[in-house]
This record gives sequence, structure tokens and C-alpha cells, in this order.
Amino acid sequence: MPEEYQQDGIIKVLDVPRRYRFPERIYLLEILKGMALTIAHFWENFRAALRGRGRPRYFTAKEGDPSYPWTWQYPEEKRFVHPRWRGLHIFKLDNKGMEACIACGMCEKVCPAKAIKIKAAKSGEEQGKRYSGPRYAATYEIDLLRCIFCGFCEEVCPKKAIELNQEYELAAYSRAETVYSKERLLANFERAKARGTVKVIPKAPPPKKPAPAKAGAKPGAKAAPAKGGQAQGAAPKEGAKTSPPQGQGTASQDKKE
Amino acid sequence: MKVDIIIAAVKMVFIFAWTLTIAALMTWVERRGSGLIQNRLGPNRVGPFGLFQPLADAIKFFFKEDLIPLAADKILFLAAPFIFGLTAFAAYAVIPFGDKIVVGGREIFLQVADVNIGFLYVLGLSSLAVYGLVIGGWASNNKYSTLGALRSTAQMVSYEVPIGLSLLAAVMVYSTFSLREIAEAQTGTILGFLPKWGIFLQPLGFLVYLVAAFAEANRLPFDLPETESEIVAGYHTEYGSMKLGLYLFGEYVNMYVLSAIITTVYLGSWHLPWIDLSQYLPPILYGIVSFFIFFAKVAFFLWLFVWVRWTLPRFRWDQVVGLGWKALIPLALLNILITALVIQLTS
Repeated sequence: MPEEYQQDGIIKVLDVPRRYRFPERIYLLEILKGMALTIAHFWENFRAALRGRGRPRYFTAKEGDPSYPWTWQYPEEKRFVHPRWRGLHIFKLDNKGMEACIACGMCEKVCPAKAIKIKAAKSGEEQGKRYSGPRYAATYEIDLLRCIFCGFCEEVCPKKAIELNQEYELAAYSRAETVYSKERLLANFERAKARGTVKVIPKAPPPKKPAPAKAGAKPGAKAAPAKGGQAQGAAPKEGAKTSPPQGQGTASQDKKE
Repeated sequence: MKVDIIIAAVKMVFIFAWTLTIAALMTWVERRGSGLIQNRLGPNRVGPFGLFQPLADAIKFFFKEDLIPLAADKILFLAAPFIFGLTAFAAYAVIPFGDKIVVGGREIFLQVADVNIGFLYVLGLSSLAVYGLVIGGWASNNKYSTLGALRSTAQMVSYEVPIGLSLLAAVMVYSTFSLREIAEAQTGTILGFLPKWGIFLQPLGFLVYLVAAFAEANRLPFDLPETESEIVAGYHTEYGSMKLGLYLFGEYVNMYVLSAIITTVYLGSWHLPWIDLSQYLPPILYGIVSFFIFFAKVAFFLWLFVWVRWTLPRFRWDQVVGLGWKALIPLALLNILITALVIQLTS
């Protein structure tokens, strides 16, 4: 054990509280010991390399375990991606195939890097057919060169319409390619769905006439801050559209006002 | 006469190409070997097992900008890598790399030049290699380079002496300066069971020479002229492109030469222990086999250089010089004393 002692207010550590013995002082035996160690590592790894990617006995983690400490041969062996990984954005369709985005602009506002640009438009006749809400994103662009992959847009979205998914190979040959339009983001969504890595597929709102739905939503939202804890119970009227995060839904509408 | 010239030329080209190939291969062995020792993979992308990595490196070196610092001494700056590379290659000329091949009644010795003072020639050239470092370090006009050059000088002064003294004892044993005669003397056995190799005749001398060889080749644990972690890259801080390539390459050629000397003087050169292959094999085949036996021994020492490098930490500057003066030189002198006594008593 290293011995600690104090000298002039400084804690000092005496690693070797004894004089070196003679065989240690002539180095040779110690060098041979060290060389035996390194050649054992070499041999173990060499055999592992011959077996393909075996498991040298120095590693306690099992192969397939993400903490398996062997060099990942990247282009061939893809990186292990955790379920909550924040990779390439996807722009989601809800469970009825309608664009979940209602173009509220929350993501655009919250984005610290100003990577998102939305142009909203009225859905009109298309509401309930192609778009879930009364408004939709006519254009929706994410500039990946600006994006810092913080995931705020995903957190703030009242409709769970955007998500940072698992793709991470984002290199491109031109700047233009790094700007993802709505179509490309939708394509990302299709790929993520095919992989089965979409975290939440948003639920479509119940089919309602656009005007009453709006009218019903507003009082509910106004009631929320006043009643505090009760708001959770009051919200479902309008919150039925976005079932999971009711608190978030109301909070976002508060901000809007 | 013409045939002799052709044979000499073929031998020269062969050994030059062979040394180049091995040196290039050694850069790969070094990197993959260190990778495996450290539980990494090392370069494995270019070609099978990354074998073409040296080639890719060379191409990269050629396409790098050939930069000469404004304050550098241009002529010396350019000349230094060549001095280093040249001495490394030239030293190999006198080292036998195999026994003789007999073709059509003509004996072809596998050695470029059998100089009867081959020993001194090798010692002289390997000492000259230091000038490559010192001149390069000085001409760069950079404090790190100068420090590297200074360290290189101190190291040379400390380690040339034990090298000379340990080889002197070997010369006393074999009583010749010709490397081929030394190699040929290492047949048979001593005490009935030990092969009559230099390592058994001169165990202490072998040890001293081996340690000093690491310093001579500027390899860890004695890579003081370079010391990446202390003085950037030492003498070749300012070097780039193929000039740097020559330095790095010359280091491996130096290692090859030193390994060949160790093999020749201390490890029985092309002889196998207890067996005289020349009695069993046809002369041509025997020549080729002897070359590969020699090379296998050299390869072991090349690997030893790599192995030690990735095992030991670097010595401090004063420790290196202290080890040279206070341990190796007394040991080498003691070795000479013992050798002289034994020779005197047994003859």
C-alpha cells in the first residue's frame, strides 16, 4: 500500500516505502517480467485475430454487449445505437397516415441553433385526410449543419411529430444536401418505421369538425393554469388528440397565448 | 571477370531490395504488433491484413509538401536525412547473409563484400549514422531539434564505447575482424552440448551489446533524440514529406543492420545448432536455406526491438547516460578481462 504523509502542508505519497531489492535494481528480471506480460497480450490478441473477432481473456464483457471493448471495425461493423440515441430527424405520420405536424412553430422557437424553418399553411379541405390539424407545415427544413442534436424539438413538440432517430451517417458532398426538406424527413420516417426504431407513433386526433374542435380547445387551455392540479383532469377534452403528454400539451398552448 | 561483376551486382541489388522490403515491412509489423500488444487492431485497411500500409505511407510522404524552414541551414538540412539513410544501407555491405552457393564449380558467397576489417567498417558506419541526426537537428534551427541532436550526441558518446568494447571481446575470441570468418567459426559445440555460438562464448558481451544496440538504433527505452512526449519529435521536428520518411525508414534499416550484426557475431549466423546442413542438402538449396536461417534469427531480433519498445517506458536522459557509463562500460571492461584471462589460460 502506498504510504501517505504530510510535509509542509502538502500530502505526499510514498509509493515504494522500501529500497529496491538488487534484482529490481539491475532491471533485467523486471524487464523480462514486463516482456512476458506484453507477449502474453500479443499472443492472446493474435489468436483472437486469427479466430476472426474472438474474445481475448482480458475482456470480461461478453461479445455483443455494447461495452465489449474491442475495436469496432466501423464501416463493416456498425456502431451500437442505444434506443434513445439522437440521430437524424424524422418527420412523422400518425397512425392514420396523416402528417402529425400542426405547424405550431414550437420546434422552430425552441431550437437553440436555429436549424429549423417552418412555413405554415391552412389545411382546409385536406384536414383529416392528409394533415391532422387545421394548419400544416407547407415547408419544413432542418439544416443539419446548424443542428446540434439536442433533441429540444422532439421534447417540445405537442404532437410528437418530430423525433431524432437512429441514423448517424450524415456526411454529404454538398451543403445543399445537408438541408433536409420535408420530403426527405418523411423518407427518413419511412426508413425508421421499416427498421422499427420509431419511439412514438403519434395518434391521429378523433375526426371532428375543425371549428368546434378549436372552440373546445381554447377554454380547456385557459382553465389549465387556473386550476393547477385539476388541469390534468380538465385537459383530456382537448388533450384527447395528443394522449401521452398532457402537461406538455397544455403548457405549450399557454406559451402560445 | 564479367561474371564476377554481374554476380556482385546481383547480390547488391538483391540485398538492397531485400533490406528495403524488410524495413518497409517492419513499419507494418511495428504498428500491428503494438496494436496487438495494447489490445488494439493496428492498421488493417490497406491490402490483406493492412500489408500495403507502408506503400500507402510512402505515397503519402511523396505527396506531402517539401517544407524547408526559413531559418534552416538549407544544404545541411537537405543532406542530413541522406547521411542517415546512406550509412544505414552502406553498413550492410559487409555482413554475410548466408553461406555460399556453389553453381557450376563457382563459389558464390552470400555477402556483398568480404572485407577483412568488416568489423571496423560496420562500427564506423553505424557511428556515422549519428551525424545524420546531429546535423539534421542542428540544421533545423529549432530548439527541440537542437535538444534532440544534443541528446543524440550524449547518447552516442555513452553507447559507442560499450558497443566497441563488447565487440572487442568477441574479436579476441574469434581473433579475426572479418565477419564471414567470425560466422564460420561458430560451428561445432563447446563442452559437448552447447552450440559454439557467440552468445555462449560471450554471454556478458552479448547482453552489453544488445542493450547498447537499442541506444544505437535510438529505440525505446533509449529513444532520447526523438522523445515525442518531451521534445515534440526531437531531431526531425522540422522534417516533413519524404525527408522525414527517410529518417523513419533509416531507423528500421539501422535496426536490421544491428540485428544482422548480433546474429552474425553472437547467434551463429546461418548455422543451426548441432546440425551441419551442408552435408545433407544440395549446394544451391543449402545456400538458400542458410539465407533463411540467417534471416529467421534476424527477424527475431527485429521483433525484439518492437517487443521491447512496447513494453518499457523511456529512461530519463541522465539515467541513459548513467547506465552507459556506470553500468555498461564497466561490464564490458570486465568482460574483456574475463575473456582475456580465459583465452590466456586455455591456450
